[in-house]
Amino acid sequence: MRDDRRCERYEELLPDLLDGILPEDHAAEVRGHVERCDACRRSLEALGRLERELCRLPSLTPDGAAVAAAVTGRLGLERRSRAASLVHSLPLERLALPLGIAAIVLSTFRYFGGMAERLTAALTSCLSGLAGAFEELAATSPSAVDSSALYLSSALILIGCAALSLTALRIVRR
Amino acid sequence: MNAPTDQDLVRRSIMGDGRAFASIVERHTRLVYAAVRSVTGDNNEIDDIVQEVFIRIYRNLGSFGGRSALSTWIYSVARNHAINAVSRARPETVPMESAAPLESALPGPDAELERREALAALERILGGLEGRYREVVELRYLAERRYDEIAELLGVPMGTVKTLLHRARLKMRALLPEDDECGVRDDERRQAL
Repeated sequence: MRDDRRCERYEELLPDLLDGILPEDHAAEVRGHVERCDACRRSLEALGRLERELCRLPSLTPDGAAVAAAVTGRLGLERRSRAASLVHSLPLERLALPLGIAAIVLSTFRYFGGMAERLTAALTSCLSGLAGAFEELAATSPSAVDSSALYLSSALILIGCAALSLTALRIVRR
Repeated sequence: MNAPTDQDLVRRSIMGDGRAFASIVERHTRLVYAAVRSVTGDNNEIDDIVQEVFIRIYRNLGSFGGRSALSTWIYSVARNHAINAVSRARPETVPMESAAPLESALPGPDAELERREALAALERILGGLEGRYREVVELRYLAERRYDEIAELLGVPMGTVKTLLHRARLKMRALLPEDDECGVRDDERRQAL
């Protein structure tokens, strides 16, 4: 049976009961009233139905991954990591061709010119900051310098090929 | 490993990290939908408006000073953009730049039709709410925010949020159709009873 003043008070608490935020003693009191009062039970049932309807909203909304894919697509952003972004930002495209040519020319000198060995060895020394050590090594063991130059030449050929391949790949992708 | 903070994601996004910005979008998609829906209601251009919001956010990330929470800033940008979109659309129906399709959200024509019908049915209930009432409901149910989070987003005390939500529920209850087809959270209601 409805008692307007009491029902009004309990009705205020029904949403909290549904949210599960009512302290247990209050919740028990409200549940007890609802069991005895048809009007408040109907009210609670209607609120529960409303709650269930509203709780469908997230499932009816596009998910974050789909929206992120669409937005990054529209922005022209690739979903790459920071490391990948840094690599991407390097001027590889401009450097690749001259680097590749220089590497192959240097390595060719190694095999076809008497000067090439000295040039390669000097370049190695300059780059590594070990010129003095190399001169000493050359005086005592010329074959060691020759081996170092051979390794350097091989490395340069590999770098050259990689750089030229990268350039070719970029041209093809365009 | 801990999830990156919003500040980390902002910093990395500014440096061009697309994956970081995608994470920001994923974290805040529902919040932006809630902000836009509270202004525009449910309509066919909502996906487009939401994407425009995120594009605007990306282009203005540098101006986010970190004085407020990222979610508060995003919510404010989203609402302002939605208000502008509505006022732009009113004088004449100028189509906006087409939204990119949301593939995973569109499993098929039948499912999409069903989704649109369900949203239209909900709109009949939510459409009766105005201003802050609708905002609070969208934040609570769509963005699934707690009372204290809603209070922070709206800049009002938590008691005000509770009052607004309570009144909104009473208004919506009056608009609720009698039939009950939805089985979601039935167990929760039984527990409450």
